[in-house]
Parts: sequence; C-alpha cells; structure tokens
Amino acid sequence: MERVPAWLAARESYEPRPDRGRHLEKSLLALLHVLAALREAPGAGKDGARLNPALKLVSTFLVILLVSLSRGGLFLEAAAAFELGWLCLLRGETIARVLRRVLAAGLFALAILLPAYALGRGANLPFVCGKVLLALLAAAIFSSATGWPSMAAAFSTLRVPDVFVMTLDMTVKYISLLGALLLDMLCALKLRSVGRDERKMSSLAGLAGTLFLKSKDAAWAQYQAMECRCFDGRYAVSRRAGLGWRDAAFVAADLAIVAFFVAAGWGR
Amino acid sequence: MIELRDVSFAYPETDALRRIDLRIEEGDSVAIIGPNGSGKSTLLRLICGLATSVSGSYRFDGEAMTAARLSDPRFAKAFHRRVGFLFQDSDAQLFCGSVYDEIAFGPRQMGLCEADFDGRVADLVGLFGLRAVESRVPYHLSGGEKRKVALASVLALNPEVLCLDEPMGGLDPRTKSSLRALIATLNAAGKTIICATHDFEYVEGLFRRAVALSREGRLVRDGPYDEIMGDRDFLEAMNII
Amino acid sequence: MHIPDNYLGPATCAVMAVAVVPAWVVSAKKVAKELSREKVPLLGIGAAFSFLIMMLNVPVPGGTTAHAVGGTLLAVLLGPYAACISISTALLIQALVFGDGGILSFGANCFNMAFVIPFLGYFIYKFAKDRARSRRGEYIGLAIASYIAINFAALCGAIEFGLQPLVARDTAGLPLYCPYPLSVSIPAMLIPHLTLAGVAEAAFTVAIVAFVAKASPGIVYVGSPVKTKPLYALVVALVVASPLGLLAAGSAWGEWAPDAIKGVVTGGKSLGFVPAGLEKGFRFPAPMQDYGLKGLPDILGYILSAVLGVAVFIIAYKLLGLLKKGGKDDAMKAGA
Repeated sequence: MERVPAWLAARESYEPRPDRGRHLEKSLLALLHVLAALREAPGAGKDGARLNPALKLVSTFLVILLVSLSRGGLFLEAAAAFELGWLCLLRGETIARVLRRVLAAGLFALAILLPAYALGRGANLPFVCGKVLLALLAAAIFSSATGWPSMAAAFSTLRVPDVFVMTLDMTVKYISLLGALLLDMLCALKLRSVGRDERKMSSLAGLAGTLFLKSKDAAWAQYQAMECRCFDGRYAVSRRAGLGWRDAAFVAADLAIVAFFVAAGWGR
Repeated sequence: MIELRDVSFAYPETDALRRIDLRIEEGDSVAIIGPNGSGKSTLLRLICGLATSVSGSYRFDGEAMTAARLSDPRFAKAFHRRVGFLFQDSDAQLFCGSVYDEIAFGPRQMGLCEADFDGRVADLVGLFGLRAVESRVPYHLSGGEKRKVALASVLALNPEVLCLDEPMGGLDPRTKSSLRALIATLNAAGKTIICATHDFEYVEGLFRRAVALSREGRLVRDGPYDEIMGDRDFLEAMNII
Repeated sequence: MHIPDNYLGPATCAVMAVAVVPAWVVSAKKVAKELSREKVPLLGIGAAFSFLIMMLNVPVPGGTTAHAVGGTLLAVLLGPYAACISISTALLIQALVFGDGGILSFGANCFNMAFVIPFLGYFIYKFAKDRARSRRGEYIGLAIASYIAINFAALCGAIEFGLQPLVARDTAGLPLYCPYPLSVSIPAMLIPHLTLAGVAEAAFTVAIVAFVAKASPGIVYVGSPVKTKPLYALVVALVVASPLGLLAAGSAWGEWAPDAIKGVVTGGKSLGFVPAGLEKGFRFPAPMQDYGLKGLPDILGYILSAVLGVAVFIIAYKLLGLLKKGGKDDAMKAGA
C-alpha cells in the first residue's frame, strides 16, 4: 500500500482568505429558479389544461397587442377585467406565482420609469405603467397556466413547421439536462472555492467551455440516436388538441374584448 | 464528528430523506447503501453542506450547520475545505485547462506559496499516477483518469472528511482496484470516508460500517459492513442486490 | 438587454420584427446548407447553451456582476447563422416561459441580440483574425469584436427606446410608451455597457473560446470567406435603415403636433404641457365621461367594475386559502 504524503495525513488549520463578489451564488440562484420553473411546468398544465393551447397563445398575443395599441384608460380597465377574470379561474398556487412574478417585474419597470418624473416627463406615466403591468400579467398568466408540452402543441396547431417545434422541444429538454450539469458544476466550483480566486473569469469560463463541449457531444449523440431510429428530417407532433365548449366560451370572451376595443374608439 | 438528528429533506415533488439519525466518528469508513432513489446522494450533499435539511439538526464537530451559518462566506469556506465531495459525474468537477491547474486550483485559493502548492500537486500526481497526463485538458481524459483527477483536486485541499458519490461508477476493473487501494490508504491515514455505492464487488474490506436507506428515504439499518452485506435476505428485500 | 412589452410602441415592434425576418430566413437557409441533417439537434442544444450562458453572472472589476449575452461567443463557436437561430430560440423560450423580454417586442430583442451581436461580432472577429499574426492578436480581435458588438446592440436598443417619444404620442402630445428621448436613452444604455457589461462580455468570450480552442482545437467554427460583402451590405442597410423605418412608420401612426416635437428635441422642460398632462394622467379609474365614451351605455362601465370586483374577490379568497393550506401542510409534516 502506497504511503500518503505527510501533509495529507496531518490535520490542517486554515483561515479562509476573504474574497469579493457573489457571482457564483447569484448564478446558482438564477439557475435553480429556471430549473424549478421548468420542472413545475408539467404540473402547471393542470390549470388551463382543458383549454386549447393554441387558443391561449393567440388570446395572450391579442390582449397584449390591444393593450399596446390602446391610448385611453377605458380599454385598459376592460383588459384588466378580462385578465383578472382569467386569473381568478386558476388555482391558488398559480395565482400566487403569477402575482409574485408580476410584482417583481412591475417594481423593476417602476424603477426604470420613475426617473421620468425628475426629467419633467412624468405625464402619462401611470398610463404607461398600467400598460406594462397588463402585458406582464397576460404573459405571466399564459406561462404559469401552460406547461411547455402544451406550448409546443400550440405552435404545432398553428402550423409552425415541425423542424422548429422539434428545435424548441429539444431546447427545453436540454435546458433541463445541461442546466442540471451546470448546477453541479457551479456547486463543485463553489465547494472548491475555499479562499480567494485570482482568476474568477477563467474559472467561470472553464465551466462554460466544458458546458459547450458537453453540448456538442450531446448533439452528436442525439443525432446518432435519432439516426438509429430512422430519423429522416420529419418530426411528427401528435399533440394537436381539439376544441371544446370551454374554448368556445374563451373565444366569445376574446371577441368581446375586441368589440370593446373597437367600441371604445379603437382603444382611446 | 458528524451528527444528524431526525433530519428530513424534501425536493419540491418528493420527500428524499425521512427522519435520519446518524453519527459518524472521525476516522470512520462508512458505506451508504440502498436502491435507486433512496436518497444516498442527497444524504451526502447534506453532509457536505450543499443542501440543508427542512427539519432536524446537523452538527459537524459540535457546530450547528444551519442555512444561516452556511451563508457566512468565511465559515462556509472553512467548512468546505474540511469536507470534500466527489461528484458522481466527474465532468461536473473538472473545469481547468490542464490536470496540473485542476489539482492546483484549491491550494492556490488557499494562498499557499508556489513552492508549497507545486509540491502538493507533484505529490498527488505521483500518488494517482497522473504524470503522463499532467499537462492535458481534463475533459478528454478517460473516465478513470477523470475520476482520479477529480479526487486529487479535492484531496489537494487536505480535507478531513471525504464524501464519495458512487466513486466506482463507469470504471474498468483495474481502475476500480487502484481506486479502492487509494481510498483504503486515505482512511488508514486518518481521513473519514463516507461513500454512497452500488458496486460491492470492488470494495471488500474497505468499509467498517454500512448504513442502509430504504426506497422511502428512511435509515433502516446501521451496523458493521460485513454483517449487513452478509445478510442476503435483507439485501434482497431492500432491492440492494 | 431584454426589452419588455409596452416600452416600444406596436409600430416599432412591427418594424423590428420585419427587419429581423430576413436575418432569420438567410440564417435558416445557410444553416440548412452548411450544417446538414446531422447537426439539426445542435440548433436546439446550442439554443439551450445560449440560454444557460445568459443565466450566468459574470464577475466584473469592482466586485459587481453582470450578465453576459454570449452572442459573439456563439457566432465564433457555431457560426453566425446557427448563432442567430439558436439565440432567437433561447429568447423565445425566455419570453414565453419566463417572461424575460416581451412578446410584442420579441422582434426587437431578436434584432438586437440574435442578429446585431452575432453578425457584427463575427465579422469584426473574422476581419481581425485574417490580419492577426499571432494567437494573441486573434484573441485581442475577438475581445474587440465582442465589445463592439454588444455596445452596438445596446445602441440599437437605445435608439428604439429613444424614438418612442417622437413616434408614439397621444392627442395631448404625451408619450405612450418609453418616455425617455434619445438624449437620455442613449447614455442610459451605453454607459453601463461601455464600462461594465461590454468588458465582462469581452473577457468572458475570449476566456471561453481560449478554453474550447485548447480543449478541442477543431471544434471552433470555420466560416467560408467568400460572399461576405453582400452580407456586410445587408447588415449595414438594416442597421442604418431601421431607425429611419421607425420614424417613417411612426409618423404614419402617431399624431404629434410640430410644436410639441420642438419641445422634445431641444430637450427643454416644456412646462406648458406637464401640468395638464399630469392632471389627465392620474385619473386612471375615472368616470367614463372623461374618456370620451361616444355612445357606449353607462351600464357597460358598471358591468366592467362588477367583473373586476368579483375577480379581485375570488383571487383574494384563493390566496387566503393558500395561506391556510400552507399552515396545514406544516402541521402534517411535523406530525409525520
């Protein structure tokens, strides 16, 4: 049996060297948040699962567009009623998630827009903020109530070419896979960062570079797996959802909001 | 040295560990065994501070290991130096441009002078037989070489405890044997070894103690390794073999 | 650098979306020709990589952190065409699933981050690389390329923002979207990018490419040197023409009075309109008459308020239920 060097057999006392910067912790938090959101997505599908996802996507786009086009508070009130009406149909947990997200993004928007007052351009700011919040709310409701598989199905229903849907599907799948690896890598780096890293950028670049090499290898392996299963460039999506009475009610609500937009003087 | 009392841990969808009571003394060599999904990796991550329990208490050397305590950078750094963790996937642990830099990463952080950390790297390269690959990029090494580099880079910090997550996974028999010998040497030199493992063929005589986790994440048995591994009925019932 | 919804008017969003479509089409065609079927998974996986890179916090001199975009990085590693598609895909996922970046402003975000950065960065890098005499020279060229590319993208974003007060105004001459003019938006966007984000991007890009080149020398994209001139022309044309397009489109949609424009352009504090605008702007949930109903029955207003009220009540009730349920869960866990 080989003998270990003396220093390895001795107990060491070490006073950690201080170091600035929390880039590892911030990266870890951001990544954990992303991976958690992607994990939750299938469960979130329970909320709006019975609505046709393409319909939800088109409605969300429609509402955001109409809000953006509007120039008066009347239509914004109607849009708020529409969106909150949709929101109150979701489960409590989803509502909390949506509101948390809108609040965070809304505060950020406020921070950007408030200085306009100091510049004498504060007029109309509540109106602008209202529009920003309504757009955020619509997008947050859509993404919280629609799992990724449903979103992909929505694109497929809207006749987006299959190769794009496949690319999107693969992207989401590999964000989870490569993201889990990146998470471990960040943890490993953090565990070994016991003092002062004089080459922080180099360490982080090593992580990113290794991630890229893994990505390339994964792509090659994925291609070979697909070849073995006789992939010929076509990607069949068998998730096209039908339409039910709930969808009809939803379409009616959409038509109502468009009618209101027109009746209110094209959003004035 | 390591004391877990009534520790539970849960992921968002599932419970991973339920009410674990575990004491590990300095110099111990413990195998954590159990079927897939029993929480072996989670237990190791908890011990090395990558996760904190939702309930119960974890004390390391008498010090309570709470999330608040671990958020203190100075304390966390000192702790992480003392408890080393070997990831299941070696690629997660290797990010430097050469084997030398990889092993030198920790000692450089610690502020050792060049002569000292150069000495450490040389010692570890010799110990692990990595001289031929010292200047190569770790990413393209073989699985066995990567595992050795990863372990060497952790040892460069001179930790007191080594948490190994499936160290034998994906290795050829010869590498398994040499790794086994190394781990035995480290234990003999006073390192505490805690190892999650499926691979029982190559770990004969390596562990004095075994801790068995059930599929639900409960600690069902804790005793001498040979005694537990000799109980075939138990192992089959637990889906360990 | 992700632009949320309602900072840019719909006209601007439409123009930017139209502007980025040629880039997508050209990239898709080039990728289909160059990469061949075996690299199809690479687009999705490249998009995942791009997405994850944008998550990372990069240390910046001074102790703070910044987010890298990695546009030039991807262009150098995968080629500008694949980079354009991959980054666009990552941006789409970010917008739809995470609300990072708006849905209407998706075109603008893609223009800035998936077109300007990879193409400009790649061409500057190639220009430098063909003339560099050493590895070191190449990396300096790469640093400059990625620095210029991200700052130019920030400039594009700043112009998109800054034109809003000019092109999108209501009857009173008040801004409907971003209220900051070019004189504010340009320094506001450029200063952080010139000092922090650009430096981080450059350093990060060079460090990663150096690592990858050392680890796998053959892996870095080698583009064909021919036919870059038409693409240069396309890039320049699009980048120069877009603000003009924005102005032209805006004037078709907007209703600005020349006097009000004068007030904005000269940057003076037009005290004349601020008080009146403030009065109007603050009355958000106001009686219907002030918003010019033009024949809509009052009952609609009441119905709206009722719907809003009921919705808010249901939401509050469900949130309260969550709190109670949270308490029960804790009790259950303690008892288990």
